[in-house]
Amino acid sequence: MEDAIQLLVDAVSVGAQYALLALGIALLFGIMNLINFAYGELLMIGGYALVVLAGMWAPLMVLVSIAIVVVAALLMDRIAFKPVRRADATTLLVTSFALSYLLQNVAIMIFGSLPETTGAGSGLARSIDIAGVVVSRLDLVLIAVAGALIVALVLIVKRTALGIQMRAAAEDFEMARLIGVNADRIIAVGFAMSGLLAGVAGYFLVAQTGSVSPTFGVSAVLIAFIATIVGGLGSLRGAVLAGFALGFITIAFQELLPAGLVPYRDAFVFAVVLLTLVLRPQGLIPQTARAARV
Amino acid sequence: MPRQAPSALPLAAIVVVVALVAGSLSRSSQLDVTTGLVQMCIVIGLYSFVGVTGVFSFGHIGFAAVGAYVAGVLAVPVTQKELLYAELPGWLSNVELDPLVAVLAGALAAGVVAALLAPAFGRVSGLSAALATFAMLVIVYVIARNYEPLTRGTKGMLGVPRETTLWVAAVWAIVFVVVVDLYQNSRIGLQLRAAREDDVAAGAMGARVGVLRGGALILSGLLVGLAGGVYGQLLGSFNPDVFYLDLTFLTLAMLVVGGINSLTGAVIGTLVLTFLAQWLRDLEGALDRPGLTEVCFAILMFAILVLRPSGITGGRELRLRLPRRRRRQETPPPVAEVRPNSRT
Repeated sequence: MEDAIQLLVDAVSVGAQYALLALGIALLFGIMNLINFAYGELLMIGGYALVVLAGMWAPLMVLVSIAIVVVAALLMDRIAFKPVRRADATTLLVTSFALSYLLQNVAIMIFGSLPETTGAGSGLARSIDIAGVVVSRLDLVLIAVAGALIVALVLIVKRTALGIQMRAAAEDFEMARLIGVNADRIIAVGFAMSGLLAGVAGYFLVAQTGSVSPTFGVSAVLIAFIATIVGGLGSLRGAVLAGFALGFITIAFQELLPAGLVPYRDAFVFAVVLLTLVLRPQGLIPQTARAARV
Repeated sequence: MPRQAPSALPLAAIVVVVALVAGSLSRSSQLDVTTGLVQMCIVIGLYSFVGVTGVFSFGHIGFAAVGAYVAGVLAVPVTQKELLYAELPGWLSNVELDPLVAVLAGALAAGVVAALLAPAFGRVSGLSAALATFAMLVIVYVIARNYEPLTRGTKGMLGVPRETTLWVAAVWAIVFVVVVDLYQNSRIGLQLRAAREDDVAAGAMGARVGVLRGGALILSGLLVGLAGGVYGQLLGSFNPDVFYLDLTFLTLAMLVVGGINSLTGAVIGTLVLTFLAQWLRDLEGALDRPGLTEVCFAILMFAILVLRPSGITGGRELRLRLPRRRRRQETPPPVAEVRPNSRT
């Protein structure tokens, strides 16, 4: 029983992290059809910010690093994506791929290609014992923060005027502009939110691994892609659900695959993605507005 | 369909000239040009899918990996296999194929992998397809890293015969140019390019878009797999990271810079980036800033995407102009007519 609960906590914690990552991608896709490869480099920027800021009072350090990531996301929008905003989705995808590669190599130029270690988040490393179940504080904080962020995001998107404008832009961008939605502003808000999510997710990633490298964000962004595809491109609800589902699948594969096959876990996860794309090309929760119109 | 002067001829001539010039250069420059020509094969293979169908792919380097590993393991001399590949299954440890046959076998293996994926591309298109190819790249990479009996994992393949000389690479590049030029002007190629511009209209005119795209994936898988095998026999030793994101980026950048919608673009883009790399590597060494070359390539690619999305060639093919045919000259594909300043 304890084992089962422990696995459940693991799965929820991994799932919460994946959901955060996926939301950051899905949000921008909803607004401007952008699948942002460079999202992983936002995580990386957050990680290096923590390295550079080491020694500061921990909570302040986390806030400053998140602020840096948000600013980086806004700059990304202004410098890289604004010039290609009207291009088709594939061009945007290729642009973000080039940007991601650019930032990785800038990081190599500045910090070198070897990982930098950091003690950020080590304060959360201790485990606590709740009725026989050993849980790390990091997992608990992660679950709480991710839960709060997801709820806040849902409230903003569903209840506020800004959220309504964002949803309108996601539904039909040109129409939304015609009735007075400020495109620049909505997209900037989308990038800022995406940056916020990346900053938080990046912090937890650093706390788990204890080091940052130029390719720090690559595997995380792959996970986020999977979750957004499986969830139905652009669907926020789908992204969150798929993030959690992936967390469970990952832990399940880890536990259930024969020992010899565990190193291939990621191959199995990606095979599930391919299969999903073939069987349900629109994802688990299709965006009705995106159905092909002829 | 009016006959066109094939663009394969001038492109093959360019390859020959490049090889001739490189032949008179120093050994290390020759090696760089050889690498460039092998990469040209990969880019042409990539073009035969991305350019012809308009479906973007991040996964073709996965086919190159399959080709390289299969061609490599089949060509390693039996005497070295006992030493380096002790865990190989019995029948494989006694096989030593001629390097050329091994490359063809590698191409076939990549073609089989592509055939397994082909049905998927009959169903998904656009962004989902691009992301599916990415999933494929990751799957191949993870398997190459972990299936150590065959691939030696991160320790890397060793002992692959180095058969790819300057002229071997040049001949392959010419073969690729000719094959893909014939293919893109064939009935199937024209249907696919029609579907690239408007798949609904092409479908309404009887093109079976899904089936054709699946077929295009298989052909491009074969080609890129072959190029991968040739690349493996150029390197002699390689690990899974050789066939992952760096090569994916480099080949995509070559295609985008040259022009994604023309075979000429694939050839020109590869040459431009190969020569730029020569110059940038020197600068990088002088300034002691590793990563500089990649940063410049990424900026160049970005500039092309913003200022001239159809690349240096603008989607046009290089053709020999035969005077009496000028009257019937075909208009270039619509993509070529998008002018940078009309996209405000």
